[in-house]
Amino acid sequence: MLAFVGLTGIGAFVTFAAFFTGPNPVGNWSRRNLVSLFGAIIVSAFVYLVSPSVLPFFGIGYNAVGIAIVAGMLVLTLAPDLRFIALISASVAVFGLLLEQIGFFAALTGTILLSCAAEREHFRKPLGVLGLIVFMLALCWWVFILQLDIRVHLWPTI
Amino acid sequence: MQFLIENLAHGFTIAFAGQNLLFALLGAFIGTAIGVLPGIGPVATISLLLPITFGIPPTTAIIMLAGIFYGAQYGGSTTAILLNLPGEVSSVVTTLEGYKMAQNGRAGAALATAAIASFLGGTVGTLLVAASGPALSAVALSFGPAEYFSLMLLGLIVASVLAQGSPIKAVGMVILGVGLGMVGTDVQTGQQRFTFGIAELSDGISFVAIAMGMFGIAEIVLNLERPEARSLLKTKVGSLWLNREEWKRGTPSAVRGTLLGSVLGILPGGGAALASFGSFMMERKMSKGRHLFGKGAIEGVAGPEAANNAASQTAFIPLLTLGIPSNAVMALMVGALIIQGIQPGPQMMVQQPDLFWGLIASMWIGNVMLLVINLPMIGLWVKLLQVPYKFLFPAILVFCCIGTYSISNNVFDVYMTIAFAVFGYICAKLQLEAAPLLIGFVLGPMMEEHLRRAMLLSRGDWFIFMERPISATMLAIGLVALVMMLLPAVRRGKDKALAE
Repeated sequence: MLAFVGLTGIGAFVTFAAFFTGPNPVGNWSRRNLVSLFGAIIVSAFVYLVSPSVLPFFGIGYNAVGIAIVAGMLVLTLAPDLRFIALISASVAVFGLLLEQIGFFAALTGTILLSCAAEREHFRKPLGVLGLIVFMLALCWWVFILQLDIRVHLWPTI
Repeated sequence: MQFLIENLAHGFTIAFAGQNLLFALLGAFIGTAIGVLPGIGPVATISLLLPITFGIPPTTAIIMLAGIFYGAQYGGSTTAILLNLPGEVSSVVTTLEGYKMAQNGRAGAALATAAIASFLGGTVGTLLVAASGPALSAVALSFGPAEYFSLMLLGLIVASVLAQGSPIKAVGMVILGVGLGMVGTDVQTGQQRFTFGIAELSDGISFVAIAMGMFGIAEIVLNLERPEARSLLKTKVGSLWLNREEWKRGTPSAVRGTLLGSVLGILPGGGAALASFGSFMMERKMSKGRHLFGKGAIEGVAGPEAANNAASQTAFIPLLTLGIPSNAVMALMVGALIIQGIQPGPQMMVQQPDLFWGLIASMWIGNVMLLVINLPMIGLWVKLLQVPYKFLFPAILVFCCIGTYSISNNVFDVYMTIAFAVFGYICAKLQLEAAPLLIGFVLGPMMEEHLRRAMLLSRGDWFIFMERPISATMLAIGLVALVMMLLPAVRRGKDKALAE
């Protein structure tokens, strides 16, 4: 355990130092990016702790982790430079959050909708997103449910 | 020789089985598609398709995954020649002369050269795998735990030395990968290590979560950050036939590329990218048409394309004979084999002859398929390039999510994937290569197992690694590689070569 703590400390120091000396130093970070980053961490921690008491759904399995990631990442989208990583991470978390209780189709729809928000052009042509959702739902149902027999609820169970 | 012919004949009967043939074709087709499409590589695709392979027999699964890997090398040249945009890292140098040829109205000839040279490289590479496999496996059977440990250590060192960018960073990533591989249950004592009481971590961190996160999702984010710039060549592709002069100039380059690629493919950390870069440098210095470089020299297409395909085949040699992955794709192959309950290594040829020889035979068949897929169907690939990335990335993301979940039907792995995606993104920003981490993650637990076995056999005497000649030789080579890497003159030379 001592070795682990030691290595974690060294790792944290190197990572911290890299923010100031690496090819992408923190000096280039705008105030908005930094505030969004710390805001996201605080919101994530708060949502993780509070969400199970607000709605029992978030107390099931890792749902509290999922909603915390979604909330934190949505805050992070306020930072223009971190918008893509935040939206893509949030859309993966939405998949994990919705899949087991809300169902396969809802999880796919949520993931595609949120990830498409990363591309601004989709806002101008939402019909393309709708087409993509329909196509992906049909394709994934055929590949994963029919052909590969993945056992997962297709529709909401709560 | 008789042994080789008999086993190859057996391999062809396996490879020609309906299902295997179909999946080889599917692998070659998917490989070409992802090679053509910039922004998605074989590592991400193989990670995506790993869960799909669980439902099919191991031989069929590996045949398909191998097809994706070498198919991507073929497909990568299409975008390089027509768009000046490499579909794969190994096709970067093809853009230099291939695109120039296309601008000169010889796009068809450049595409044909790339396909034919790739076929030559792939065929010779496969022959080498078949010929050297049994001999190396026989040698490897005499290896004990000390030799295996030293060999894996050497593999990790060479992977760090040959990695792009800073070798110190590569070493750091390898060590981190080894550290991540230690999470889980200690196989000898049954104790939990670094699991923090999380039951899902008792079997270790999911290999697919790391691969999917660092190579799949992180790559999507990085692609979204780069504005899409695809402009198809306005001139027609033209005739695919090469004229006599082009044949005369291209053939020696393809042969040289094949030889160089075959050697570099075996090296840990080497692989297709290093082979194509090496071949381009060699052609620019050695070929008769070196004065034409920069104006559309066919040698600059034939050499690198032959080299990257030869390397992608010979990269299977360390995996099939020693069970050691030489690059990130081979690390994924190890993962795929282990998930299927097969331990890659020298015993594989004896215990899994269908897989070993079937895979080798399928490589030949796959290369023939790729020739057909790439040349007459070039119009289809040009059409595929017109699919915008804004529609591709949500689809890739959905496949990543379902793929990760289906490994153990647990959303914990999905959240782990997010963690590794964010980490992969940070690594990319800090110019830390992800491939050494994956190799360290795969080799780490194996290394630990052999280290502990060797220590048990020697009753705790560390000199066991020095007393055994093969082990001592490998450690010495590793030490020399490490010292050379740290020498300023050598580092400057490497940086200069990479810059060129």
